[in-house]
Amino acid sequence: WPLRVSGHPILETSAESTATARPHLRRSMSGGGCSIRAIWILTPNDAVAFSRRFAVVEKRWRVAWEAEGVGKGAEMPLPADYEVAAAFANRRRREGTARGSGIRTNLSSVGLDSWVDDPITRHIISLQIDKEEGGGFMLWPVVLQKRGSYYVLVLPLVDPQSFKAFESLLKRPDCGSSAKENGNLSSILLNLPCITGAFMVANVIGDIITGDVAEPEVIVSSGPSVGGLLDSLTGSIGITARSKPSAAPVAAPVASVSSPVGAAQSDSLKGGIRPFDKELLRSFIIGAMPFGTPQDLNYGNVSSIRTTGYSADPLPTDQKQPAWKPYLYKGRQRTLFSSLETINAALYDRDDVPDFLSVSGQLTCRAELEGLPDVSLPLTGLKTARVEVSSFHHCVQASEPTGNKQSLLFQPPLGNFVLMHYQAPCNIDPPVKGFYQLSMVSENEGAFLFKLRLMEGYKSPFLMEFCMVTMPFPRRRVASYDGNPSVGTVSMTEHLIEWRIVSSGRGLSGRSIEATFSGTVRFHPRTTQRVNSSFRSATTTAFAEDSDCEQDITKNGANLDDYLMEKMNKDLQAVDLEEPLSWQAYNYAKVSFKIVGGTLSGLIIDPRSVTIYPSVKAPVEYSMQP
Amino acid sequence: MDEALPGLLADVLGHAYALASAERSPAAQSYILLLASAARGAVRLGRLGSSASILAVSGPPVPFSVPAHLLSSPPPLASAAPPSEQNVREIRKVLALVMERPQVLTPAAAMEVTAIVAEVATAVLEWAPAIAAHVKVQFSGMAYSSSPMLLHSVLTLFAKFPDAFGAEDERKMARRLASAACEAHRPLPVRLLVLHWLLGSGRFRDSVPGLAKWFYPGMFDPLALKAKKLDCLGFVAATVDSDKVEGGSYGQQTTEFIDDGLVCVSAFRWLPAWSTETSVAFRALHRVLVGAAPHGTNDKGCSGAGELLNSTTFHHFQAMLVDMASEHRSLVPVIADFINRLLACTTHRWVGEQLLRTFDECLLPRLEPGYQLASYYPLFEKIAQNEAVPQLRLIELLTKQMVCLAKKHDPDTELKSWSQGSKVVGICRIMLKHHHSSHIFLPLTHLLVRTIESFPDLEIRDHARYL
Repeated sequence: WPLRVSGHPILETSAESTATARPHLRRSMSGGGCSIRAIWILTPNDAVAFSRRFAVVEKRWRVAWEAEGVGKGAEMPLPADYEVAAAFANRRRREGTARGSGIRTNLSSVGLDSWVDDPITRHIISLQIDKEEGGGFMLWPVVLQKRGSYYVLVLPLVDPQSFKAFESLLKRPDCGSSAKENGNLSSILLNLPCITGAFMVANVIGDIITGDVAEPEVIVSSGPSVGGLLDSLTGSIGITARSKPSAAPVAAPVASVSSPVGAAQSDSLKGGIRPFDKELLRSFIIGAMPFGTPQDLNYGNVSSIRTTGYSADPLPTDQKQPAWKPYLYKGRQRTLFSSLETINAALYDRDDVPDFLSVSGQLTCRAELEGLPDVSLPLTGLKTARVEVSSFHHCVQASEPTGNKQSLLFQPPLGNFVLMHYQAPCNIDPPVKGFYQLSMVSENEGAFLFKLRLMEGYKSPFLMEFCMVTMPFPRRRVASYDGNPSVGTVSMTEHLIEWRIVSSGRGLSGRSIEATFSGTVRFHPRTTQRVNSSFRSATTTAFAEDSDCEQDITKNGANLDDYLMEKMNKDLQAVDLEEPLSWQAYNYAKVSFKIVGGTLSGLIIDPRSVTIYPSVKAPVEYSMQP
Repeated sequence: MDEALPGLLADVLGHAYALASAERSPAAQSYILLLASAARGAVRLGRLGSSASILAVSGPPVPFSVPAHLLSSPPPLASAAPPSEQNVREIRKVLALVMERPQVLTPAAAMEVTAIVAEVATAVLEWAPAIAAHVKVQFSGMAYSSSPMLLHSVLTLFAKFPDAFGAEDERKMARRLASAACEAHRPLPVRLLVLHWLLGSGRFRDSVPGLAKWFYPGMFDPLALKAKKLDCLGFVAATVDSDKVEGGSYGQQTTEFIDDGLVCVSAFRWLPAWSTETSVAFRALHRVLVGAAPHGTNDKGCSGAGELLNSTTFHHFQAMLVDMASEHRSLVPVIADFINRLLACTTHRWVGEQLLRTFDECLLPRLEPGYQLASYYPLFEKIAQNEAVPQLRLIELLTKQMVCLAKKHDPDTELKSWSQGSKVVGICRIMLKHHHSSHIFLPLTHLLVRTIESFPDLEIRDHARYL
């Protein structure tokens, strides 16, 4: 059957159209699916901490290449651990950082990932394996994920056509391809679901080695939840409450965004290496991806099957028990839902610049129900809440949204799970409004002023559990500060000042308050720092001469601001591509808070509208935490 | 074992079917996968073409029995006979069981099943075209899953069953991909991948211009995502621009896509030249250019060169770079690198040259002599190197610069005059090396004579360099 592909020819077509000669060999590779050839975990010192190879998949790799020409099957075997470690170290040396720059710079050259000029090459890398006896080759696509201090490398099986297409992309001498050209990176990636699968594998392995395998939180309305303070501290930008929205926050962009003490060092080693349980990982791999083909990447499931096996209970109906529900719940029945929303906001307090407010929410569920019941949940108010995007757990069958409504039907899995993720604008004023000013009165002293209004327009049951303002000074060392806030307490560390306005235990509900804080902050004198950034050396040879201009400018008085700005930014480092902006170049204050009792998007569910079939008498509880 | 020895279970497909249909425990998924894999083996071996039923079994399954085809060397070629009517029915039965309830599968298993179903169904599609619609009904809901594996699996079905998914489905899917990239809960690599999928398929690309609003980067989007979204906006701009030539209209100026898109990294104008924002911004500019005039497939040069040259995008581009260079001196080396990148490309060399000519015409008249002019030397060197760019304006400016340096020359500024002056001489040297026309000879002589007059020691120190 001839494949009809409109427009741009895709790679699969060529594989299929030549399939007549050696049908089963050629076809064996095309068409998706995901199999893993090998997994490596490297330490920051370029030692292999763990590796796993899959012989069955490797055989398929050899067979596929043998079809390309006799003897080709043996040309690119899986490298030894030390060869992978050496290749990884070599790549880091050539690219400048472990992940690589992801954008073509002056340091990029033909054959380097950054030559391809796409940020995804920081996550899907190629490794040049050098053989002592000559005949080196490329290992691609290696999915790279940095977790804790470790680098997780996952190599999926790809078809020779895709491999060659990428290889030729790496070697193209021109100025960089666009999506409108044949053989572009996008079409290669579209044809390789195995890369997507490998990401998920790397992801869960990362979770296991960092111990981040907890289920998403479902908040029970009674009793305060714990940990909010720390969570919000570690991951917040602008105004943020709660920072761990997803079940598996893989290199969660938000979470890494604003470590207060400068962010650009994410490739460098922070602290020691925490050892991980290799036996645990090994047994997970056996259960999750037998013979290299992933079948279940849910850590909870795989480990519970390993420890307790499948349930032996006879099923109440004639259905198949889902693979993601290895045993059935028994006990008191109830269903819990909770909404959790994270708001990211940038407040400018200016008439000409609109504030930026965006809510990302999730509806988490825990269904303690016996048997295999169907749960139906009608969602209403989608249009009112202006929900822009939503995605659902794989157990959910969602109806086509009509106007304001959409209904979800699902057989709930065990434990807590995220039923739905959504994005929406913030439909009410943010709970913290106001302004922050900082002006330097001398080289080492700044005067600042905060004027904030908290919870304006928020009526009970909205309750603000805590609220904290942070003034980060990543490039200066704070010596001391003066001034007392109208409410709350202040503390300082080397690079920041923290103002706790509302602390946990003493919530704010049913009223709004105004909080002001003015004072001065003194810094230790600057010590000259020399930046050693690859970006810098790449692009700025001409800057060495800037001192020439100094006198000229100061004499003329023209462009003084520009000149000062330039001088201040001289020691600024280029941020990673995972960051949203060059934080260190700005003076800003961060507000983190946590409130409960409602949602900011306005999207709420009605527990009474939840129906369960076959029907049981089970209470449905609902809690909200924006 | 079936993976390692493809076709091992092809002869006992009937047993696999019975096991998979009877199993109700959570292990059912494994049986489904086994059945699917065995069915794929049967299809690859050409069993559908035989008169015997693929589901027929003789007696119970026997352990350790190896099918003959695995022992023969070289492996027998698959029969190319069309499938028998009975086997089309049987394989549909198998597919129906495999596709029965994708919701009971884990995402990883669903990805595997989708891949196999796509291959098996494609093999019999000609004789049972209804399968495509069935596949679509069973799997297309996965597009709304949070799992990227399921989302990608649906995309592979789009490629495999082009007739089952209509234009409306394509539009919806394209929108889904564009919006999925905006979901903050997804890991960054996945958000990047989603945009690649959107741009990677000819089927979705037509919908891309209508999705522009999703591509304006959010303030807190990681810079990598901003870069990728700017790629998409660049794609939109290029498409809209070329459509305009053909009479299409999207009611929006191409230049707006570029300007509004760059807002997210607008700090690049004042951040240091090595900042990531700067790299992202200039990468985006490059993508817009290359999108409008892609590299040819067969070394025949650039398609769309003429259109680009006359396009509003390019005019805007030129004005933007001139403004940038004149207002933000720190960006000059970056602009020089940008032009260098184009000059080094056989397809886009002409774009680089055109930009240099633009600088000659529009930037040089704006520049004043003085110490600050040194910031522009990297750009002047590019102009001096290029035979396709007129030199007179540059020589004139450098002459003025020499006059200015000479005027300011005193014991205090001696070192600076020397450093800057010798750089000007360096540019003259580059010019001499690359331009052999009498055209520049006279004004250049004039400049050098003036230089020697102002700095008498120059001749002695630099004599060797000209030789």
